[in-house]
Amino acid sequence: MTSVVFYFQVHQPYRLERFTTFDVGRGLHYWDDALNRAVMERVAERCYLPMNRLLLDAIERTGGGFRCSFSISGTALEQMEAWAPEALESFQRLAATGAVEFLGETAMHSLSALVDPEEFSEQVESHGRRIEELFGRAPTTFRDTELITDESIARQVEGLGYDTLLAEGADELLAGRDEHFVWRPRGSEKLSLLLRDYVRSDDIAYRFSNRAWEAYPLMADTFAGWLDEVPENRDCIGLFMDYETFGEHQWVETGIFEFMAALPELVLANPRLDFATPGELASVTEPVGELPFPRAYSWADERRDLSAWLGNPMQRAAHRALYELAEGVRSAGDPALLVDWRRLTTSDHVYYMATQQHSDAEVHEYFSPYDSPHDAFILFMNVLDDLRARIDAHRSTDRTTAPQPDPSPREDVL
Amino acid sequence: MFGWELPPSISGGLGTACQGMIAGLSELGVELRFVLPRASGEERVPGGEVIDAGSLPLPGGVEVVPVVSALQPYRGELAPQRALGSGASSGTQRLRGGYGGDLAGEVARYAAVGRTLGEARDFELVHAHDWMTFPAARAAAEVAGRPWIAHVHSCEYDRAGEQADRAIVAVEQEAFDTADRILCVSGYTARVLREAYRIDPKKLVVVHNAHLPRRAAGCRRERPAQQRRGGEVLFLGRFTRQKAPGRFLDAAARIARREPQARFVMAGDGELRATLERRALELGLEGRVRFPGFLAGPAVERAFEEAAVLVMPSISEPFGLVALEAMESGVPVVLTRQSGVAETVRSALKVDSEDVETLADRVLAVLRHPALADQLAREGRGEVARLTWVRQARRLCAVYRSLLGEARTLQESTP
Repeated sequence: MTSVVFYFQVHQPYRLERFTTFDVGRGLHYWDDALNRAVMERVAERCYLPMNRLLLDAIERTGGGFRCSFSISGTALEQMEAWAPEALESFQRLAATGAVEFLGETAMHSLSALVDPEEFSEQVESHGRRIEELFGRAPTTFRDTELITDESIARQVEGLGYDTLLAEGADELLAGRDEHFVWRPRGSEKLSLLLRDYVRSDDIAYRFSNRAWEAYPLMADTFAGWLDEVPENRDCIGLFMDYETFGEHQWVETGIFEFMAALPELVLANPRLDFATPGELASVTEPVGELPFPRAYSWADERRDLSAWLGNPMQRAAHRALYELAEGVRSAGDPALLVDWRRLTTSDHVYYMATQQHSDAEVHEYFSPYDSPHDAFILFMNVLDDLRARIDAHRSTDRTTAPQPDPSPREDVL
Repeated sequence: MFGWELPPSISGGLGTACQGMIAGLSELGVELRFVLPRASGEERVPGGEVIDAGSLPLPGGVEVVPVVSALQPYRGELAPQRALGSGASSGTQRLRGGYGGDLAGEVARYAAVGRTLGEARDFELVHAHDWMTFPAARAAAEVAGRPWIAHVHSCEYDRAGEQADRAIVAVEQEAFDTADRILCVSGYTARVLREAYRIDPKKLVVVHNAHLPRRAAGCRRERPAQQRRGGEVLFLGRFTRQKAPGRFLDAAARIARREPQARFVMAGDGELRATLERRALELGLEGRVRFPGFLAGPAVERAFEEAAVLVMPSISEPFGLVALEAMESGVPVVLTRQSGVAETVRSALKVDSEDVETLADRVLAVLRHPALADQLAREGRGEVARLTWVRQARRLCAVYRSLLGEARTLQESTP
């Protein structure tokens, strides 16, 4: 039996409000609440609500035969609670069926696994507690931001008590091995690794509405046939994708909802196939072998590396400057400061600074709320300057108990 | 092709763009005769010919209406005039070229020569650059029964707004009504034309300007961050209302307070110069801003060499070739969205012209963050290298072919 493993990523960042260097020290709010709220409301209406209804219906219709998993970032959860509580409730209804697994990740959808183990475990643990509170079960499967994975991250994840890890089935990583088996990352003791079948995943997530694609329009029975082409005795077919694929990236007019509504019964009609969540599959499947990671892999862009976030000097400078403030923020003991800094660790902020060429650039621009990668960088660095000034203000009040001096006078007025 | 200036004699944007176009077209094998009101002998048209209209006798019986106003094509935004053939007396009936003086008379005389050329020479179509050349081009095309193209590098409404000179507007309007195609250097200019001249949108084609690589470019050294922070913030252009040099100074004042090492250079000249110098003092920029005057050739190269960033704060800029020149030299550029060049480049920081604070913010960011400056420099070089005149010349040829096709169909259907 081969299990079809659906994992949907739900994520929304906190986008920044316009902020020039002349705003530093003025005590302004960083976040574009109006935009963030508008995006959350729109995505809830177009995607989360109709799609959750559709999946709930599929689970009930098939008596739990259809199963899937979600990872919802903490920044998405918070914004959903604030601006689309009915969407959050509909995820809770899915959790109550027992057919849906909720995964662990970093609360802020951050790149902390790469640079700051302390921040990483803090974000993973706080998010795990939040998931348990909201959905009734502590997560046992983990996915790192954008499926960024290497052996060191796998060991950190294992150290935090997780059993299962998701990663990209990158060609270079597999080097001829089959992504349809459960693997164990080299250097881990007991972690199971499930890989994304990127071809079949992207058939749905990217190519579905592409009129130039020879398979257009893709019908559910055609796709079920492609799932059947996976050789016998494989463990799983990992279909990992952004949840916003449904109704947001692929509009309702493309037929994506009809496609997903029809797929469960077509899969279940095949005696070789069933559905499973990642944790369920890993708990009954022994890894077929060890998989070495020559480098870190992600699920983004053609290169499947980190270049989407840390590929150019602006991105690396911003990333470095952000984590240089980590110690200062943590020791300041100011919860509001910590919240603001943590929201800046969301990987989207450096993603907006990407200057990729060709097809990847279109994907980056599609997601960016700012005019250009350079503007995104300047905005981010200005906000970091303000954050630094707040840290410094804490330091000076700690040294002297004297009242805080007036922050730098407003110099922007001529 | 009718022009008004060509480097090296005059190096305004118009002449530079024409030179690029000539290079691109000749590389595609287009046979070109370029007519100038007065040639210095140094202009070059590879594979073609320069026709010096000033050396041709004016046809008899041409009546030249005396000039009422001191028409200027680019009102007050001229480089100090280096008049050609300055020995020519005002009584002569020959063309003098350049700007200023009896410009309306010059334009009328140019038109008369255009008619003569139309009779004497064989050509397939006429392509003319800005209003001074339109009457000549139209005359040549009409007498020969050929189509003609009006190419707009800047128009009077754009230069002068409400103070537009009605005589110039009338020349432009007549040209736009009679030309077979109207080419614009940007979508921005096309919008101005549609709104101010009510022209037939079917005749309108946008062909962005491009860049002719200079030999000296590309040799700029990468400089250490320390130097950049104290580097020069450069304005390079004529001191006219539409180029907004005053906004540059307003931004400079904000920058200076945040970055005490920053220095400013206002390279250019024009009627606003005295006002700007006074304003710089009022803003407390004494000793921090230089006014080196109009720069050309190697002096421009040196200015780029010293510059940490180029600012083009224009309120209204049909294109803005200086931005491409700076990018080619590896200088990061901050420009306004109210420019044609903003439509064609990605590797520049773009702000709205009225937003001086954001302009200052972007300049400060370039001065402070080497990662940003290096990124803009590297990307900018690559991007400009792809904006070639040959590519744009292919678009021009497509317009030529469509016009000639139409002309042929018309001939065939007329008994």
